[in-house]
Amino acid sequence: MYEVKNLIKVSAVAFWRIALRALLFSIALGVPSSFADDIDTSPVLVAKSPYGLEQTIANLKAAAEGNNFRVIREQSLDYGLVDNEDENRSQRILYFCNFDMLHEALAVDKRVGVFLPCQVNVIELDDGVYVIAPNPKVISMAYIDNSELAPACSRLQDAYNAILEEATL
Amino acid sequence: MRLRALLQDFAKLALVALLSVSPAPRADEPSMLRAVSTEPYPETMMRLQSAIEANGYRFSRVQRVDYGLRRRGYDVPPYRIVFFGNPADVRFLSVVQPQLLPFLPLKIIVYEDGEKVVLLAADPTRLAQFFPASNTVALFNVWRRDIEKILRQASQSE
Repeated sequence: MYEVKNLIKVSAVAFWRIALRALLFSIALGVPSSFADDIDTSPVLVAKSPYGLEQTIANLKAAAEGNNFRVIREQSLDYGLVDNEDENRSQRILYFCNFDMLHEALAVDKRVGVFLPCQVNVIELDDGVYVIAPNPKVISMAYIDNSELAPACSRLQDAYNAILEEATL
Repeated sequence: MRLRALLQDFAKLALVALLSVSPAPRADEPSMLRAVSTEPYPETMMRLQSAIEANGYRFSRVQRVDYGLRRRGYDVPPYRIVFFGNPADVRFLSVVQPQLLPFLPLKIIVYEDGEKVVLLAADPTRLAQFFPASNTVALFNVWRRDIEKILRQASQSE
């Protein structure tokens, strides 16, 4: 009887522990049910990937290329900030670029460089793999008050959405 | 032991919930931090790297935007992005606010604008309108102070 009670107690503690961790990560990440929900106000675009970290990165590369971007670099988030052997490989950045779009944007406003190059972060947490990217439309509006950039930022936002969706479907 | 871990999770949860309702700072601050160097482009880049390290950050790498564009037929003046950061900040945000990770590492762009060499960075405190928790706002303020120092040191002759 004591063993059964103890088992129930341990199970209950384990259940709440898992539930709390899930809640904590959800609050910390603020993961919406669909990353399109907050598209006009959220500073980041977020999607949960049903795949593992490496597969998600491979999917992102294919999706970026499929949307006319060139993948220019993949690295750990802390690359160059720690010694190579200490890099956290569960947090990665994929950088990509559409050079025509880049040239066009720089011709309009040189300040856009502070948001370059295009990037998507891939992060592995306890409850899965997340893909997070800055929301170019929202961030550019917060930093650069230049209406001439708006069309390019809208196109970029559409491209980001397409890449995230294709990579995590 | 499990109860203790449970209590720790409760504490973390309470902290995140509490900080998420902290008031946002004013949104009318300047959005860009800018300096104009009195030195030529190569010297400015070297001074920038030294200033980054002198202020406790690690220089990560340089993205040669002009080089990439030139390879595709666009004739552009020097335009580079310098990435830098602090591993402790990465670890801190990984736990407290993973949504901020796409804004790391920090960046300063360096470009020629006519005769001038311009150094430019996004003011991190602007992010407070999206991430108003007091611990992240405190970090934005530290970044802003340090970037201002870095820009000043990189742009001024001895």
